[in-house]
Amino acid sequence: MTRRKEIAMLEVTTDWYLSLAAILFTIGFLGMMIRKNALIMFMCIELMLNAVNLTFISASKHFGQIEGQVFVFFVLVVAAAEVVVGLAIIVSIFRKQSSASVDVLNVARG
Amino acid sequence: MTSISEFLGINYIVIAPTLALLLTVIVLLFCTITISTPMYVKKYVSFFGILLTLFTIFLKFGLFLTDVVSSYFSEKILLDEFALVGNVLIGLVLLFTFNSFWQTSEMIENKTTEALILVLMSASGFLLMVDSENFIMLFIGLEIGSISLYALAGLNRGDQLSNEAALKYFLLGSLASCIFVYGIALAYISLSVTGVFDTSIAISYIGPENVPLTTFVGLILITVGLLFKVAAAPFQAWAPDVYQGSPTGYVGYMATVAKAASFIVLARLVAVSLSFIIDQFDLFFGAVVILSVLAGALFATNQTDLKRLIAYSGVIQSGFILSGISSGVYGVSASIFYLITYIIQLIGIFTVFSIISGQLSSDFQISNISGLFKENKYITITFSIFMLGLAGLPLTSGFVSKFILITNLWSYERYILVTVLMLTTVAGFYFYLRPIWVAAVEKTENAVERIQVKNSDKLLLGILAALTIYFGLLPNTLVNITRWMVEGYL
Repeated sequence: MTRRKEIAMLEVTTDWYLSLAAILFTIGFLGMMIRKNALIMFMCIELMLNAVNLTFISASKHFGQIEGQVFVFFVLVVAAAEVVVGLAIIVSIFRKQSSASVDVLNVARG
Repeated sequence: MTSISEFLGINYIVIAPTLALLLTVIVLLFCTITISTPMYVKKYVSFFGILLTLFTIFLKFGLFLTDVVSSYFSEKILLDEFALVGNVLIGLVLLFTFNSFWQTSEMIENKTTEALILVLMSASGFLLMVDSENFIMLFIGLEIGSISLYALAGLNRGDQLSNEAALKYFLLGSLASCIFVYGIALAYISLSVTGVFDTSIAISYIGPENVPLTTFVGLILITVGLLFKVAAAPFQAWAPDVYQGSPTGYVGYMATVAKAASFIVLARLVAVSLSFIIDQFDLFFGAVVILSVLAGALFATNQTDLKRLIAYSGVIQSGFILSGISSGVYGVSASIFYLITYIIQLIGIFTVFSIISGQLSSDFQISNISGLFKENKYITITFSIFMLGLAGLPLTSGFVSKFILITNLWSYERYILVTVLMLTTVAGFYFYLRPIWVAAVEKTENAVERIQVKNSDKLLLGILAALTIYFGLLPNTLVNITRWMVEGYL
């Protein structure tokens, strides 16, 4: 009986998903600030976009609306487009410098 | 009895400018991939596409006269004064920068069509952005525009600086987009709204004092995402590097179109969505304004690279425009006036730069223009007019725009902001006049030789300089247009 009660208390509400999304977004943001490798920074952007997707999905479920889920599709498409352009830019740099670290980007300064 | 398309509000005239640009892109693709055509065909196709876009914008005016402010496509696309002025601005930016970006695209071997397509696609994205009522459309438009611009910055692949500019622009721009879209998500989860007008209605429904913290955070994140695009401090880090590294012929377009679209959207966001809770944003906007003008002035003072100097000057100008946006309805109209005059000067300056240094080059030092006046009188005079306009000398449009903005701030009793802005204007004369001094007055051994200027460039510079002077002497027309824009929100 007591065991069943514990399980009932652990019901996963919308807040849990929102907190998870906020944590994921923070991890992605901190990664952007701290890491030096362009590819890792790129992955952090993807992580942040997915955190946004999670927020939209849980909000959509919470309100019983379809708008949030539609929004997720658009964010996915935009993320795919960003992957194409971003990877092309990173590859272009990598071929010249054989390094994907942003430390080599030190010509423009002042 | 209304038909289903009327019920959904499907009206293709509203998105006709975007469709016209897409059509141009398809024709350009056809010209390159299916049949190989000479260069001049591509030139006329893209120029005709831009003219077609301007014509469709004209059609939108007709629609606006019958429908007044209304939304289409089941409340996704909005036709209001901000959308119209934004459309006209972006269309004219395309027209006025066509000369520069065509010449640049011509010089990039085997990539002429790609370059043109990137420019036209980004314009179509920004047009969609200023038209959007729904945050989904806003995000899509912003991304179509920005992603094209990232690729445009790195188009000159042989150049180290161009690559660097592209990667920096891409990483920071994507970060801004993430922040922007997370803001939309937070606004959605807390108010269950996804529209510009819905937000305002929801806030007035629950009462401005009951607005949850999540909504505030969401709206601030949306604003931060837009502030990234206009390079206001402390989000300005990308601007100097991108301006310096990108091919000079494109920078005029890249800088102006993103600023125009983002500021129009920001103005509408402040005038509509935030209208009930704008008082709570005073501190945020005030801090951004003061940081922008101070950081811009500080970094611009000892710049040796002219493009970086203009980038930091852009940070200052963004601060000025923001100070108007956050202070009342007439402040918004003053900001739009400032934005239009600033865009005219910016296009002029980058046209001059690309004439002097060549379209594809990235580096452009102040010493590159020493003794310019000796052999190239026309270029120097127009360049001086644009620089003096940026500085805000009387008789130029820069003075009038600053004057309207600051008198409006004064009537709202924002004395701290007024003081800081006035001091920055005075400090600005130093770094705006220095390039003119180097070009016209300073004695030098190796003066710039005579540059062959094309007639189209001469005409363009003449028109832009004349507009700068005209809006400085007779600003009434433009002031009335910007006043008309905001009349509905009084």
